Amino acid sequence: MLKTIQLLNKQPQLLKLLKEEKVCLVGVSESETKSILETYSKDASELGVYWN
Amino acid sequence: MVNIESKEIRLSMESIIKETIQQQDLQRLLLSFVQHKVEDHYPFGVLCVFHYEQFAPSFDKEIYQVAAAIELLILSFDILDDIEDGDVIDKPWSSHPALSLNASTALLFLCTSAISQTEFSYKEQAIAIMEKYALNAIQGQHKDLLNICQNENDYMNMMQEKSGSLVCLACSVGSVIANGDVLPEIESYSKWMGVVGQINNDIMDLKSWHEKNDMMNKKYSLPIIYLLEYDDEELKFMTDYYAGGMSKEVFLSYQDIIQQKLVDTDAIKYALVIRNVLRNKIMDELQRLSYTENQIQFLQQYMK
Repeated sequence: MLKTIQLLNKQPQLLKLLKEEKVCLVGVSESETKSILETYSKDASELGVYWN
Repeated sequence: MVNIESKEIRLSMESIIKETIQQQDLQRLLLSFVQHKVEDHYPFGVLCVFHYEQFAPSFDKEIYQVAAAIELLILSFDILDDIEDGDVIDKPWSSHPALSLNASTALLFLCTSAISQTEFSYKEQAIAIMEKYALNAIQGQHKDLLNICQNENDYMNMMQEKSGSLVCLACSVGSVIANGDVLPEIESYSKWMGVVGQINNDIMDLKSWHEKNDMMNKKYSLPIIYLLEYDDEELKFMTDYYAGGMSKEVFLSYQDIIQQKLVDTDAIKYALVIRNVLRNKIMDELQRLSYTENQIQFLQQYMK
């Protein structure tokens, strides 16, 4: 998972493609992809809890 | 409901101590430790009672003695953990570590003896489960103290052992006392619940630069492992610090950069993704066991 998130961080355009189901991540299950998208979609509020 | 149960658990812990420990000073010391935990509401004991209620054909109040035994074990581990980590400020076990160590040894024996004294048919299985998961937790704690889990896989395994085992212990003992069995789903979701709690603690730890801050003490956690493996020249100071090539004072001058990098590189988000993967896994298993909405909400408190 670590390498996957680093990849998404360095290539943020992948996230958009992932949301649109135009790409899938090798070695990442469907439920893990769902969790990634969930986390990225609510990151502002989640991070706010921890970092503001 | 939780308040009523935590009160019953506390009373049972006190009664076990009063009935078994005759040495007055040791008894007073142990009772003060139990009192110190009152505001936590004895969550491991409450989880044990919850799982007993789900699977037992009828309710026997003696389950509070089993729940109390689990809390005595957790209390013993908390004392040992704090002394091992040198984290004994503002705790009743801080004033005299030698006496506290002796008291924590007493707690280890009190907990199995308390379960033995119940009338439950499956008490021997419960004690075997307690010993198995307690030993797993001790092995996880040993790895943590050695600070040898420096990649994602090793760190996840260590968290399962150190934190997952104790939640699993509480849920499994409640279930086995109820009907002699522990469903694999219970072992799985409870273990992950412990890991979720540990990830939350690890994230919170990075928020402030207190004396026990993981990064300052060259400890590892998921966001730290992520940053150390992140390819960025600006983060080279971190690997230098962890390798012993930089003083704490110099490292602390990078505080603002670290805070910024934790967000910009998605290090925190990475830990949150892992936490959400586990939360979803837990939810799938809770739904497979046909828990009601209220029961799921109750268990979700342990994943916040």
